[in-house]
Amino acid sequence: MNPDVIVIGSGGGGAVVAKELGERGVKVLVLEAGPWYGNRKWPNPNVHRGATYSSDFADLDIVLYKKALNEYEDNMNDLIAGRFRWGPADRKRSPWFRNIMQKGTVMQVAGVGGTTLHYTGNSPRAYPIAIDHIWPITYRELIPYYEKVEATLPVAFAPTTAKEEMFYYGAKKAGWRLIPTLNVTSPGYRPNPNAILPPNEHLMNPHVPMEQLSWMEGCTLAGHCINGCPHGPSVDKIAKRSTNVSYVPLALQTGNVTIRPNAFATKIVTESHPSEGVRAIGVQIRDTWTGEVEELRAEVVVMAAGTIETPRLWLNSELPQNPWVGKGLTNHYMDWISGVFDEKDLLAILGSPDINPFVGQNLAARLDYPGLGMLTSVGMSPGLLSMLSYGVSESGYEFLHPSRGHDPWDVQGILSGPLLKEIMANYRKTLTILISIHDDVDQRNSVTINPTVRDEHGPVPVIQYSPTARSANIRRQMVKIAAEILQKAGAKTIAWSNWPIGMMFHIMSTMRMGFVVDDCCEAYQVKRLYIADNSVLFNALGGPNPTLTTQALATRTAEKLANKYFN
Amino acid sequence: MASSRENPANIDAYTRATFQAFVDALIPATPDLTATGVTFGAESAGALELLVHEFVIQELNFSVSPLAGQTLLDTSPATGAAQLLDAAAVQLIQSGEAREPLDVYAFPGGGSFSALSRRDRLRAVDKLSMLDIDLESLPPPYTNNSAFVENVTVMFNLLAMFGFYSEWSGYGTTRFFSPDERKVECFPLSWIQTGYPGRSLGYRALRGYLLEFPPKEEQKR
Repeated sequence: MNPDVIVIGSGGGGAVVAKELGERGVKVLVLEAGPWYGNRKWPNPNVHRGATYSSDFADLDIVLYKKALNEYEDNMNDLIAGRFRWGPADRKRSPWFRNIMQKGTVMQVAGVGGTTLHYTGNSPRAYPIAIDHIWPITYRELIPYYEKVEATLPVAFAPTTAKEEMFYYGAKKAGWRLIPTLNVTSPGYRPNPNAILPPNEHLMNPHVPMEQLSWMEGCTLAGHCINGCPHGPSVDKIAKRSTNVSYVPLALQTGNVTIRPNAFATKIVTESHPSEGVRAIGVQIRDTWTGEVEELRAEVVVMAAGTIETPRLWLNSELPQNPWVGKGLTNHYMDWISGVFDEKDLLAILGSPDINPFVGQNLAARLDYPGLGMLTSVGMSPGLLSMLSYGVSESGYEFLHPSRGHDPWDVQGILSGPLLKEIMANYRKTLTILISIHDDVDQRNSVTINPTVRDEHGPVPVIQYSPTARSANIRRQMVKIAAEILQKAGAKTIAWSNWPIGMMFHIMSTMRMGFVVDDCCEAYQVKRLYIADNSVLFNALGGPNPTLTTQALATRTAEKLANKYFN
Repeated sequence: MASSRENPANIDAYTRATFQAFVDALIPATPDLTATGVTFGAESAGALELLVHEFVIQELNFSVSPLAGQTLLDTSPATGAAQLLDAAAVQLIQSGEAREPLDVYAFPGGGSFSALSRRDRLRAVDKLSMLDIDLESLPPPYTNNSAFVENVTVMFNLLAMFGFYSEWSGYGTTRFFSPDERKVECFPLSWIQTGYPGRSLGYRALRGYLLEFPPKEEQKR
């Protein structure tokens, strides 16, 4: 095939570009490093290489999809050997190595759908004050693109289950007000705008069996968002709208998009053109099963490999030097805090003895605070919740570094021994809050490469992050606000995780608009090379989850790209 | 780089004993513990009983990582990590920070780390985590490499908790098969301890909606 455009990566951004260009009649080839779940051309995607390409909507197979996404958290989420890992499709092989220079972990996924495979669907807009007079474009300019993505995914406000009710109860008691808006300009609480289909109208009807509901359209509140949602009647109508079930099916329906999984991009191929200067003409790839290397050509190349791989690919391709390539990494300097409640209090507030954090959409209620960041309620399966709540901390073990007594929490750090067992015995009575802050762009925070440490795809990325003093101060404030919500809701034990600085869930801004790419997201120094992932974000959006903004920008980028090169 | 997961029979006694000692310290059996709504009796099992040390070893050996020190070392990544724990234990003992008597029979085949009391074992891990340690005396690939030390120490805790509280122990006799050949054979004891009912098709738990989408303010726009 001879594509007009090659898109590298099929995650939050790449799949959007593919669909938007496909609808404009542009021929697109999407390269994806990982496997494709739920496509009959890859009936055993982790065991056999399968076919090379798929471009047919009819190849999508719901039975295969449900078989692969089996809701077991070790099978799905294990960072080393899970289906949702940063590694090759063949699970008999090790994951791909990232050199993280500190305590922490990077939560990214290779596979059609990218990191949206395990994302929790949270789709808030950026805070206007983090965009206006700061970004090269205005918030107003983003709104129509936000609206288009919200309608396409689609996005809806999360339904309320017990854990959200507890969060709202605590937030209200702490003096916060409901903010019924998508454009957040003042602090308050609201349901998460989630890319998850609203519950089916029959969900509460006991005469409709749950097995039947899991094959119908709509969220079943099964609580497996992060484990991979398998609920729905067909691949394109799965409840949680990862791009492999939303934008990818739409892209295939255009008839202009081909997707090639198991293809790791190792080099952007360029040439020197008399009028355009250095320009992209293709991509070198390595087949992750066979090791075969190929060079593919196109008129335009879009990098959407993610905030770590996109700068790595630039650097490994020896594209022109730019002091901002790989620099300015933000990650919302996240933290985590949990509250354990007494049964009698829960009965009084909820009318039930448990919160049941495994029920409902994983992250479904939030508090926004433009200028500081955001909080969101969290509930998930016990393996993930235990390790993220009590297994990772800058503070060390709780019994060696206890809380000081006047802190707004009772315990802090890594829990062990009988205390850990006891707090996990109260798992069903636990409400957890994720803290995601307005962190600063700092050029020292980076993705670089060390030429001496290589894998089969070239020098591996070296990742380094350290919050600014202001970011650290903001995180302290937001942790206190979260603790107060738990306390006002009546939590009997509050456990502060104090996450280390290297916990990377929202990784952004390593190829920033205005520094590496122009305001249409085309590279300043390499024509016909665009970027459409979290790396082009100018900053960390003030704290909100980045996917929706990246998707809005990707929609806009596809429009600009098509107008410039394919009009 | 490990090419596939290994059979537990192939784990050497030293590495096994060291990680048995670690997971036992972090998540011990708790026969005396009772908690609201949960009675610990037959379900008092800790990580040792659920063989979580095998999970930690398997995962360390399977990850390409700073742990591996690439392929220059003779030892497996997990054995290298066990030696790191021993080096920390030796420093803990030599600095007089070990609080309780040693028991060299607790985990046969193990070294200094596995002879420490439960809390002293975690004190040794904490010294690594806080880099309160003489980095020069650590075994390769950790010698003078604080990032490697921090990374592997984070992994110890994360892996032990995830191994214990996820479905991993339920894989039973298939636990070391390749991931796609495993079968969940039993309901994990840890899930009984937490009250987690296991995976689900859905819950009739809808309590309503706080807001309609899009909110009225936006509809007027």
